[in-house]
Amino acid sequence: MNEKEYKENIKEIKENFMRMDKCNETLKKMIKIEKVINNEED
Amino acid sequence: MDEIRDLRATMKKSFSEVDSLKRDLAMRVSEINKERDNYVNEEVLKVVSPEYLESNYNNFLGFAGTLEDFVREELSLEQKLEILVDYNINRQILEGNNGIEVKLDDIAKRKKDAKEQFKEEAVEMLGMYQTILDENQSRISLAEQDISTLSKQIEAAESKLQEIMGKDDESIAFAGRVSGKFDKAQAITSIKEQIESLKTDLENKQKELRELQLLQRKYMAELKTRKSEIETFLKQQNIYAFSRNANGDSSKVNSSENQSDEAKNPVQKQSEENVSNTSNPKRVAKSMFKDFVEASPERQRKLLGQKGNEDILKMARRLGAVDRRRLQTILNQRMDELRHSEISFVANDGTSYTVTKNAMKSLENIEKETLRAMREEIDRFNQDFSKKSIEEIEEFEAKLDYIRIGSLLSETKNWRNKKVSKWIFRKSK
Repeated sequence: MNEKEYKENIKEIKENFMRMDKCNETLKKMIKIEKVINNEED
Repeated sequence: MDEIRDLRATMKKSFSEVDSLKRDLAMRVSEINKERDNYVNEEVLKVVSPEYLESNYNNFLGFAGTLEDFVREELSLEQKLEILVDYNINRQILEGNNGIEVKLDDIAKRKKDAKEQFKEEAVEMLGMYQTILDENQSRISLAEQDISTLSKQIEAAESKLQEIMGKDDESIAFAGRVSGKFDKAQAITSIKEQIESLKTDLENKQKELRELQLLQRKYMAELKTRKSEIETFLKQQNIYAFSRNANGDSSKVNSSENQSDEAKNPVQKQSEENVSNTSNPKRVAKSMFKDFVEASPERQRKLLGQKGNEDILKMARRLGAVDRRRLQTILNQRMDELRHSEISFVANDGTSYTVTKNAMKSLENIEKETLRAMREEIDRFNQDFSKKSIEEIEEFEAKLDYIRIGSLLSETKNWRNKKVSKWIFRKSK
């Protein structure tokens, strides 16, 4: 892997972290809503 | 004599007219009875199901004709009216308090649909998350390989440096003859600079990689937590979104909701056994009520929200007078525990109606306008549910606690100890 490819790879990894963060936050929100509407929240 | 004769003739004529009127009247009565029978038959046929007839009329199973024939030919008018009374009591309960129960039922249906949607969306989202995580793992492995290659380059350069440093003048002279330009000192300096540069690069990349690996582990742990939360939540609703492999990992998506017997929790198994082991609805209701009574107040409040009023009402209808009074006491206590002493409902025209907690215990006495505002608020919320924030949902659900308990209290308050038939009708509406 040359330097340019290495940098591209790292950039993609960081972008993937952002995507995972969005997935994670969306899931948290979905779970929270379901718990609220099903009286599971304290 | 003539007068007597005339009178006789008049009387004869009158008797004849009365006879004619009697015949007309009998015909009219017969027509009315026929119309009534047709009407009653039609109404009964709209609501009655084969299961209801099987449960309540022993001769239905052996009857050779259709359900319609059975209703028309085998049932007396009294029996048909009894069916309509049963159905109307059921309907009255469902539509009680000017439709509040129907609205609560709408919410229960919306929640049921939302649960299925939640399962699908959550599984899809988890799948996306897993795919990105896997892709990142491959990319991190590539970065690790690159760093490993860099380490090897440094080792090679250091080896080369040692080689040059260890060469004697004769070798250099030989090398010089080959290249004609070889300068040992310059070569050493150059390789050292190269090694330094490679080491700096390696250090930076290793640092960056450590950070990426740390983040990767964090997101991996987060995914595991979310999956576990979703699985636990759905399991509580008897929905199984994941199948387990031999190691007990719940990694694959299972589209079926029909879990195996082994997968069911003990309470669920017991509950199903209770239902299957007995055909006595009263015993089932009693068992459900026992579980309800023994639950903590907090758990009772959650159960009231989760079960939906229709299930609670079905249970309550099969309870005896003593248990029903206990249920009323519990419902009153749960209402008393709710935080606000007053709640407001906003009608579609923007008018706000405030009701006290105590008044909510007797929905049947609340003014029609307030009940209308209640229904309208529930409808608005149901329609715009997908656009609501968590805070708005929380606020609405808190308000629903008052309506749910209030409606249950009002519905169960005036029941008489009427013998309840099996409530299996074709349609609830």
